[in-house]
Amino acid sequence: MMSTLLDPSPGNSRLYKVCLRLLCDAQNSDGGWGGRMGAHSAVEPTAWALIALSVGQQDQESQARSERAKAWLLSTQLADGSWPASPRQSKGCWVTAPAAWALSLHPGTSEQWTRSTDWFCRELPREGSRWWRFKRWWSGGHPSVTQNLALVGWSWTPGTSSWVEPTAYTLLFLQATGIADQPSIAKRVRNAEAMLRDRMCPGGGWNCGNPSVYGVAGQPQILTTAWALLALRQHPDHPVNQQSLAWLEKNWQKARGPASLAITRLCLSAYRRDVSGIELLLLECFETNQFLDSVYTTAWCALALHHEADWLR
Amino acid sequence: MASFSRAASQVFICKSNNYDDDVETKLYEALRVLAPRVKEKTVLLKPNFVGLDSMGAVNTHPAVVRAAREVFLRLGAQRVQIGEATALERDTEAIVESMGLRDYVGSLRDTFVDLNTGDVRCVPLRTQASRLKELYLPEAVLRADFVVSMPKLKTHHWAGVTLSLKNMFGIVPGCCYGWPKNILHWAGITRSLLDINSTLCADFSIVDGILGMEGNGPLQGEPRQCGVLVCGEDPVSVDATCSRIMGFVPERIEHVRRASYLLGNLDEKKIQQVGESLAAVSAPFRPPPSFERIASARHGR
Repeated sequence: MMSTLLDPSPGNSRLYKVCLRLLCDAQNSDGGWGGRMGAHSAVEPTAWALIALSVGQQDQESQARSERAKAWLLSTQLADGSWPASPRQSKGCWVTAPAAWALSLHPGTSEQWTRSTDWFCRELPREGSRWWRFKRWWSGGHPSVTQNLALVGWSWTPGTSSWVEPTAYTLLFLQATGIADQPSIAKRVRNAEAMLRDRMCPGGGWNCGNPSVYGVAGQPQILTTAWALLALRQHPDHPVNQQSLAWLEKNWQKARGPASLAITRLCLSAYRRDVSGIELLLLECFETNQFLDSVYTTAWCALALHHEADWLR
Repeated sequence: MASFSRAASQVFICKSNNYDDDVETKLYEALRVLAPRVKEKTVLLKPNFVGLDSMGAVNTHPAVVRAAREVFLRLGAQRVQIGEATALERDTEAIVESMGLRDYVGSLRDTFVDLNTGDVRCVPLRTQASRLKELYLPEAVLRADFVVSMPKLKTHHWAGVTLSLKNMFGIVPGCCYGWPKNILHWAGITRSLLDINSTLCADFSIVDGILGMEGNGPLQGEPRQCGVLVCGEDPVSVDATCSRIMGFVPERIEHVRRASYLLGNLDEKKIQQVGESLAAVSAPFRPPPSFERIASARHGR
């Protein structure tokens, strides 16, 4: 099967087309996608699948599927402009960024996705609040962590801490829509970018957001590093970008997972770096485990393999 | 059941010096004695898969997972699946492939469930130790007839130790709570551990203590050869026994002590040790920073 999926001709590879076909087949009758093929619809996998379909081929079937996905996403938005991870939950969370991003690729939805911007402005990780920082200072701080809590990004769950990936997703959405430059949020965006730089592991790269614990340097992760670099790609010459890009280029070959490989390909393309060899590894992953039926991975892989792999640039 | 009226719990300790040993035979001997009731049941093994593990001291070793899978099938289980909701890294496939799990258990699509990506159901928590009240949990766990917690024997810089009880954090799905599941930390590790375990208590525990981790665990500590497998039905007794093997006083480990009020036996007199004696396998571990108080005076390193 591998030989049939490897396609030396220009344009989209066959693996890309397989990914899109898998996504189409996995769409639920309500228009959404679950995290795994056959699972009930949830917001984040629906958002990534819709982004993949929107960036990809625009045949009649894709357009019809995108319309149904768009309708499902619109129906699950909460009154405050955010989205919950599961449609049965009543509070919004990090999935708001990919959901709003997916809608922003479709005309006629600007009112809905701009409403989420207010939520992003209001949503301040609790550890960044003055009261919380005062409490930490008053109690002598926490000996285990060293990060600057005055720098805040976004949380996985509202009211908790800033983490690298939700911050990266939010920045990517705000940049893609041009909202990042609006005065009402520009300061917050700069603060979030500074937070990402602050959380870089010693030597470059990111893990989920703990660069050091009890004085021991954290180990960077390939997937998280690629997301953070994508979010900071507007500052390619910054030393943090340079150091982390060097770390990623040196280490991505060690990745054994398709999600890491796919986002690495997107990232290196955005920085105009060599991506040869990644598609072959993605293919091997697909041949071996069929991405463990993950809709996230399939969507990310489709985005990474789109023939204009620099669509994000 | 109140702790004073609870029957004694059996905990089996067996020596196994390395992963090339016949782990399956040893585990089979232990489980024949403990006789978990798994006939015709669907069993879910919940190992501790955290991340890339160059030292082999972070993740439950796949040799132990394979052995457990084979043994439960030999004991009559209808189906045995392996499920994990990795906590710090979204690319679950990268973790399980880096460990070589497929080489041990065969096709991952047939044997492994990524608990981070499947269907979830809202479950009210049976206790209110934290302010969480409810959690969305994976259907794959809720539908299993028999859940087996399979942690690695490790220290933990925020909880003291990470064993059977702490391993159940790993059933909480990233698709609802992120990577890490930071809401549990904000609700209090001890408190949310109590709520999770009181709501969905593992039916059985098997601790991979062949190679453990001491010091600044669960990721950045040092490997510690210990050469044991510890198993039993009562997760509190299993964790108390493991803590004693590590040279810690379980009564000083908050989540283990508090779990003993609700979920199992902590008192040595109420734990019937089977297989090796505690003294025969005792291997004092260096406690994590800020947890020096949990070390037993007998074992101070």
